[in-house]
Amino acid sequence: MLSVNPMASRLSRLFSLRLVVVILAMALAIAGDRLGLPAIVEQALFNLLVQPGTGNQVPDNLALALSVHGLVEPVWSPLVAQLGMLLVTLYLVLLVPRAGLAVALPLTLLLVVGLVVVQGAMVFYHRLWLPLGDVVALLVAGFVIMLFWLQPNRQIQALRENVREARLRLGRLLLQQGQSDEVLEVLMACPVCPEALDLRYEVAIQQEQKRQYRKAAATYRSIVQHRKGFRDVRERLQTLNKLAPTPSAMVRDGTEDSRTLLVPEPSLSRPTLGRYEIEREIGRGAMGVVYLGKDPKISRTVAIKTLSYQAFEPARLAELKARFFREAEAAGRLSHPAIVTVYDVGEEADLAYIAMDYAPGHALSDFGKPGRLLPLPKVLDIVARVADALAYAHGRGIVHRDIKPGNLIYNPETGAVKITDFGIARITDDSRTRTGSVMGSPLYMSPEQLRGQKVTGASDVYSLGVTLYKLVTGETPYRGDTLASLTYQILNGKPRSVRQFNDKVPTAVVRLINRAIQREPEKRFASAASMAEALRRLMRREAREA
Amino acid sequence: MGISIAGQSHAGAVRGCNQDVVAWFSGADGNSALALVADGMGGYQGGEVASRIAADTLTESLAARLTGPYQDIPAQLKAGFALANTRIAELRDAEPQLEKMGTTLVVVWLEGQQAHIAHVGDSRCYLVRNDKINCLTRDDTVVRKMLDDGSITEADVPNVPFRNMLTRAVGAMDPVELTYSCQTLEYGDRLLLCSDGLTNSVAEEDWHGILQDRRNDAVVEALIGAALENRASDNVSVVLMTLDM
Repeated sequence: MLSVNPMASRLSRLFSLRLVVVILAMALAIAGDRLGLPAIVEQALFNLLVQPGTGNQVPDNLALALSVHGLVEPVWSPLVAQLGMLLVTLYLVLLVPRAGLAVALPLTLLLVVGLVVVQGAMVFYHRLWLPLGDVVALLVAGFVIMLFWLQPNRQIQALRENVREARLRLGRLLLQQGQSDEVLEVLMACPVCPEALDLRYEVAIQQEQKRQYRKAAATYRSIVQHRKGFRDVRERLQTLNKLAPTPSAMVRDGTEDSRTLLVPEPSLSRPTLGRYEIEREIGRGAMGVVYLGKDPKISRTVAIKTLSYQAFEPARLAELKARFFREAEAAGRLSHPAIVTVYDVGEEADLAYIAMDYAPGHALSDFGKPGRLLPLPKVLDIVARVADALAYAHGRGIVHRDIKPGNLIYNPETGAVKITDFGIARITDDSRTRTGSVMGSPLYMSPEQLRGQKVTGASDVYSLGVTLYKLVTGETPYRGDTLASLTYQILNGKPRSVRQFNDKVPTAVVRLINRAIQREPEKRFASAASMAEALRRLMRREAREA
Repeated sequence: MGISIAGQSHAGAVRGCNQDVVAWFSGADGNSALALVADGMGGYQGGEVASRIAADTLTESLAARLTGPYQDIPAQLKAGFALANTRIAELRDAEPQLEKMGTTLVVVWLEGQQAHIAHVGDSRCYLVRNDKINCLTRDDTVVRKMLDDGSITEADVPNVPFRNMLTRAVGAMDPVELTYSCQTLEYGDRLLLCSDGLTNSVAEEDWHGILQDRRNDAVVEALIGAALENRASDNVSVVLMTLDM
């Protein structure tokens, strides 16, 4: 990992060639007279300006030569020389590096010429001699030194910029992949710049969405350290501090309390699962909480079922997850207007989730109570549609296994019905479900299912038959006070008559129900398709008679 | 003459925690003993709590009476079960995350040659006599009922959806209903208490060889070893007591 030690960089800057220029300037200012170079320059200037055409004849004593030519060195001349040196030093140290070689070279030449011209003008018009030899010498020598510094410095700068950009790019990439911890690590070695702060801010937002509130707070604090009033960081920090969770809510992986994802704080980002933003809780199932979510990329509303790992023993999780994803994958292959589409499955630190089409409406269990029953033609139509969808799924080798009113979503406005929970409804940790209420009731389970025998499409036909029974009577064919006695009834008992609960049900419907709920699978409808057909025939006949 | 006991509880080959509890006590006179196995359930937080409460309650209310005047042992067993039931139910109502907890419980109170056996759930008590192994308890499970009424055969058992469902559990019903029986032992007889972790992972036929050993602790060790060898997915608990000659 590349890291920049601030102390080392300060030292390297101290001992840079620029320092040499400064030292040179100071040496010239203090002991210019004793150094050879400025004297040579000054004499060269003298020869050029005062004795043009005299060739190499150099006077040994400049002061004497000056007086010979009637030139005067004014009292303030050392001041001018020192000021000139100061300006030249500043020029070399500060301006040249910024300007770059292409500008600095002609500019320096121009300055040298300018100084010579000034000297000449003073000689001709005022008979004054200014000791500019030091200044010109510094300018020339200093510029040569700076030439050595300029090129490597430019490379270093380019490299540094390159590293910064690369780190920012890597950080953004990691952020996209949701690896927020790694982003922060990458940014550690990146010089603080507005882009880096922006990135940090985005990381903090992502941490908020993942409900890693403590981490998000730490990230916000690191931003504030560098810039106090960065965006809304201060408000967010305050909100996060208020959220400080109780120790009992902490989970081992740093994600806080997964009983619900929703935070009652409007100033924080909405939690997300994968790319889905959680809007609100819409239910709780055996597996975990169900949320209404949104895919922000295509603004699609989805229902997200979660499987909370917290409720299960860690040692058994792997197997459970594998089953969850396998079932979701199988359900994902189904595409039918009356089957809730599975879009996506994913995993977070503390839960797995499955994103599916959000079917607006009510579960048919809402219409399974006496007094709330739907009209018969409506019921027959709904059940026929479900039978169609089951025929489609059975054709692809997928059995639902848990058809019941609670898994059928009916939209009263459009009349549409959708089957939900293909395959996944039965996923629970079956090792420890030992009291009657946990796994739900076997009211809609086929006898072969209860016996643990092979389950085929005929089992769904049975369950749909019981569902139809429920929707026309508000009751189920078998009753038992306990799970054991109910199981016994389903396996060995005689179903209660439909007419016992609703004497208005036409004989043909009663017959249809009885055929669907036959104990022997082979005595039921041959397939869900033939059940759908029988239902439609019946509907036509009912319509004619009506 | 005397009673010797050994027992052990193991988390098994897969699970990370042990929701089983075993406990046993011998009376000072060497004529009486108490042994129990409890197998907790209801989420992995609740199971440990429930079985622990059951074991502690029974120990507390019965172990002290081992040396006293023995009166109406069935009634004392029943009172112990009822107290455990109440305690678990109270805690369950107070803590939402324990809402599904409960436990099985099988208790043997040996008094001279009389073995008083009480149980709820599917932890079992076996009588081992002259190489014959005989289960003295009948599981309170849906599967057992289905087998009894002929709805399913033994071959169906592994696939039945409610195979882990108990019809009775301590802490999950009010009032608790237990099954009590009394068995007269012969000298040399052994009683084996175990959780379903043992019965599900080591077939009863395989117990015979292990039970040839007359040392209780060696047998317990070997049974649990056999369960682990079979990759027991559940906790495994065994208590073995022998009425010595």
